[in-house]
Amino acid sequence: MSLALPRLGRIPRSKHAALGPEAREIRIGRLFMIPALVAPICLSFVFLAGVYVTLNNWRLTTGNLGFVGLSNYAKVLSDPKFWHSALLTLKFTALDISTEVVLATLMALALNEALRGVRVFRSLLILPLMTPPVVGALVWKVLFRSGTGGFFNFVLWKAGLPSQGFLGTPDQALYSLVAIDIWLNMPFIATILLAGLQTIPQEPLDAARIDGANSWQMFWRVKLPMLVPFFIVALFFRVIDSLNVFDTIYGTTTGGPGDTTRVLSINGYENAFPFYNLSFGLTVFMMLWVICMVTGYLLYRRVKQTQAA
Amino acid sequence: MILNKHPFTESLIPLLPQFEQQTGISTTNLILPEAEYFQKILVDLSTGAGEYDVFMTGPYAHWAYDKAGWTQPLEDYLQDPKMTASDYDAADLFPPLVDANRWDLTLGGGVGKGHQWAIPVMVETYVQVYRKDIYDAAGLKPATTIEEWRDNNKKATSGDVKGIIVRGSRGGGMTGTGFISAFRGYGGRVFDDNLVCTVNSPEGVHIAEQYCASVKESGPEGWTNVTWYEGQEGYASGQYAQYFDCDFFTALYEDPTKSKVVGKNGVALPPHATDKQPFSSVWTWALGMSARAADKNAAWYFIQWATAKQQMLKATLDGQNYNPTRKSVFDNADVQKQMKSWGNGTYLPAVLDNLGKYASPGWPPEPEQTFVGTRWDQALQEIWSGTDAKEALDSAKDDIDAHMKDVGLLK
Repeated sequence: MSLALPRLGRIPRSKHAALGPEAREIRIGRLFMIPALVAPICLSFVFLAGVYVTLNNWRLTTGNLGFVGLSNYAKVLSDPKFWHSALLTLKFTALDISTEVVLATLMALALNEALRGVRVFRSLLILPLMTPPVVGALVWKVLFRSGTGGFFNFVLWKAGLPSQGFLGTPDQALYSLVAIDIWLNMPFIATILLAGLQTIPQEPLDAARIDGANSWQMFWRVKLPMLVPFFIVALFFRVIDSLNVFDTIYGTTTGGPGDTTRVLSINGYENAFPFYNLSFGLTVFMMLWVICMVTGYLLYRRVKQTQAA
Repeated sequence: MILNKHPFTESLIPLLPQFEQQTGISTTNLILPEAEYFQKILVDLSTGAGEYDVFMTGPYAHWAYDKAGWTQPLEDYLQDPKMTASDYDAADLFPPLVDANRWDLTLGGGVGKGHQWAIPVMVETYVQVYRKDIYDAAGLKPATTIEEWRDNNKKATSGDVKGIIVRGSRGGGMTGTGFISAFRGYGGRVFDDNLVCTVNSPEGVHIAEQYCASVKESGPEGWTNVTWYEGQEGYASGQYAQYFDCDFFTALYEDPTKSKVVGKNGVALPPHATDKQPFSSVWTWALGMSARAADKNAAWYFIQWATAKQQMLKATLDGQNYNPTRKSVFDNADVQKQMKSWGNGTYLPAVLDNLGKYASPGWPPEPEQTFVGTRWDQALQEIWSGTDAKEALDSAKDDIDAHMKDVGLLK
């Protein structure tokens, strides 16, 4: 005697219909997930196309001359100019971010106080964030100009001090660029820290005050530990952004004087476009991507550790 | 078409309806500032997108495009009576400027031969524009040698006025204007016959030493950041006694609405070796056609119309398209009237001397000019910053040779 079982893998029509609205919701839900699945594929496609170019000898003036394997990577890694740019990029980021963090912390602490007019200053804080970096850089370039036509040199001249080259001298150019980048981006960190300060509950602060903690101890032992997650989020974005800095430098020094501000993004861009060597230029960008990924991973790990703690 | 933001373009755009009415050809255009312009046209041509039929270019820029087969030769159109109006008068275009846009694709030579890649619409040569009042007061005469030039710059520096400003921004024509003119005037060559770089030749080292030392002692503090427009503005605002750069900037210096030095200028040829003639490099903005142009006949009609006598005269008189590339426009009484008084009467003789005798492309033709120029710029910045001239130029030469080998242009 045989039993009339339904075939495996098929749900009897009646049961399917019984799931009704729930199944339909799941189906519709899956449809809504499609963009989330397609977007990474599209993003990956562009990235993979970039990787493909780096594995070929592709010049803008000749087109693709064929597959060369990892030779572009070998060339880049054996190029002293690449290492010069890499070190310069790290130096720029270290100077930029460390200064931004200190200034942003001070600014966030000041703007967190219930002072008169603080709302106006909070609004002013975000003005640089609204400025396109290249526009900000060009304005600073005018301020830094030589002679009395430049604001800073005019001030120096009025004060009877010798005028300075700023962006136009090798020993000042990188620091001048750091100053521009700080102006553009420090408010980003300050805004996040300010938001963080406003989430700190009052109780631990009151407890610390009762225990006789002074302002410095309140900051160092109570506020700062509670701000760590906010610091890490801000750093995550800003460090990667700073490693990728381009607009500020291209809009002002284009990598000069000499090659004293030729960071990796300028190096990669110059090779890829003005010098037509698309494969070499993109390989430089791939190495920059690796640096960003490693940095991003280290910061991510720190976030996880903080969350666990 | 894609056009660079330039007085010629600005004078051209209002007249486009006339062209459309006359020919029945409709036009669309994109106008961009110079840096973005060159990037956009490079991407369009190199990817074969073919978005633009007509574009603005010039000798050093289109050599790379010509070699890559992105530009359409124009001589067949120019010589075809069915395609070119009988009154177009191509012979009226200054022959050296037409030749500057002709190249037979020979690396390091062959300019003025082979295909006609573009038709020139504007020309600049390079001169010393100096403050005649300051020079007269100091008893100075315009320099004829690089040593005199350095000496003049030093003596003209006084109070708030510095003796010299020249371009110093890397990749911004820094070596390609006044500097290369003096370099060539001393017999310097960028490459030898085998395309081996010779920017570190004794003449090259000598000129670079004198030039950078002079800018250091008599120029702006932040020289390596000075673009062409900052030099122009610095001179026009009376902060410098000389700007060794484009001749046609004089139009601005003599414009009372834009300049504080109106009527105080003199114009002189670039410094040169005593046993050699002066030399001026030359740049022409020119109109070229994409090899992928959708309608090449229509594109040629436009180039022809835009470079015709009447259009160029209008561009010069109404749009300040200096210097025009047609002799008839240069000789026009109204144009002469405009330019005659510039530089206390020294502008026209100097520019006509350059155009007639001394001006030709300072760079040898090859498609890697951007790399070569930028690396040479970097060397000058290093010298100005204190590196020994020979050392900096040797290093630039090594990099340029390595690059030329890498791209297969040097064996």
